[in-house]
Amino acid sequence: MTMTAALLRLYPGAFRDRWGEDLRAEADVAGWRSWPNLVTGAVDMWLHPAIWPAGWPAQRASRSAAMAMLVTIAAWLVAHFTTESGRPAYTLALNGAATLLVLGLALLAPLPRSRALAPLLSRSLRRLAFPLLLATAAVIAANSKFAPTEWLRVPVLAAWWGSWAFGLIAGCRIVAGLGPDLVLPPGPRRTRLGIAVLTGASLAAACAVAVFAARHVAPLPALLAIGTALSVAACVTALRDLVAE
Amino acid sequence: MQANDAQTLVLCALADGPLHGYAINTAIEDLTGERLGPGSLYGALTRLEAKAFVESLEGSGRQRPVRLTDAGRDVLERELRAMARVAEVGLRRLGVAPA
Repeated sequence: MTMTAALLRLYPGAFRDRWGEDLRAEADVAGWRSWPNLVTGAVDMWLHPAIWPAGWPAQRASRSAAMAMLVTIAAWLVAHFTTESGRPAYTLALNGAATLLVLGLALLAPLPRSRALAPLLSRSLRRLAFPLLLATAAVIAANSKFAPTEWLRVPVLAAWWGSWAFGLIAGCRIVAGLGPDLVLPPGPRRTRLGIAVLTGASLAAACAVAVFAARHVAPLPALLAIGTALSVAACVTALRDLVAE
Repeated sequence: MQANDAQTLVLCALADGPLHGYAINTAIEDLTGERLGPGSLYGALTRLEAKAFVESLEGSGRQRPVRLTDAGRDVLERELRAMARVAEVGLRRLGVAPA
């Protein structure tokens, strides 16, 4: 695979389907000088799912909602993971973030059409099977009579948090891929309100991690604080794109 | 939008008629002296298509020409008139005659 082909794969599938061949032709002419521009273009596209080529009118809003859900849940998990052994102040911030998260998800949840329940369930089970198996294995390993020894603790923990990460990605892909034949998407106002609420949840999670990073000066907490702050920026971007539509 | 904004340049390139992505960039090169990077060009086209300022035409294969819509033509005219006003006032204040 050439470098140009590898960089083109960084772009979202919907963008590649629409512009892939034109983009490749242009990049081939420009050669290596186009590589930085291809990378910034790919980052730009991932930050703005509302502008990707869409198959139906509500698809742009669904993609923005899916991105806001993805980054907010990720920020909450990171905050939970970072401040796990924390103090009551963190618990308060995390509970606040969790409440806003649940409210935001409820606002953004599309309503399944009655005839679509069976295919929707089967698609969800297929996508979530791997993370569910991983989480089950982690729980069984943690509670078995062969309690995790020190060397087994790390893989069990990695499996547990990995199952959440894979489940999160699978969940967002399910939501982003739901067509009008399967669900009734929320209206524009409800979508904007849902993303605004998720922005609040991201902000609460980011604040908890920022306070932790300020108290425990080290590279990893600082990186996690930056990552959760970026989740707030991603939510604000998603909201701004929908308002600008 | 601004005079060097990729979206404005793409709209200007399409003002003469439908073009493929590569031809759009060639028209921009004729206008400004340099080509847009591929990420910038197709990012601008994606944004313009999302705003319904350009639309695809049927073409051979997956490379399809695009053209301005009526809304795109209106917004381009508004932008160019606004830029012309700014350029005129700026040049007058500099004491330079418009080209």
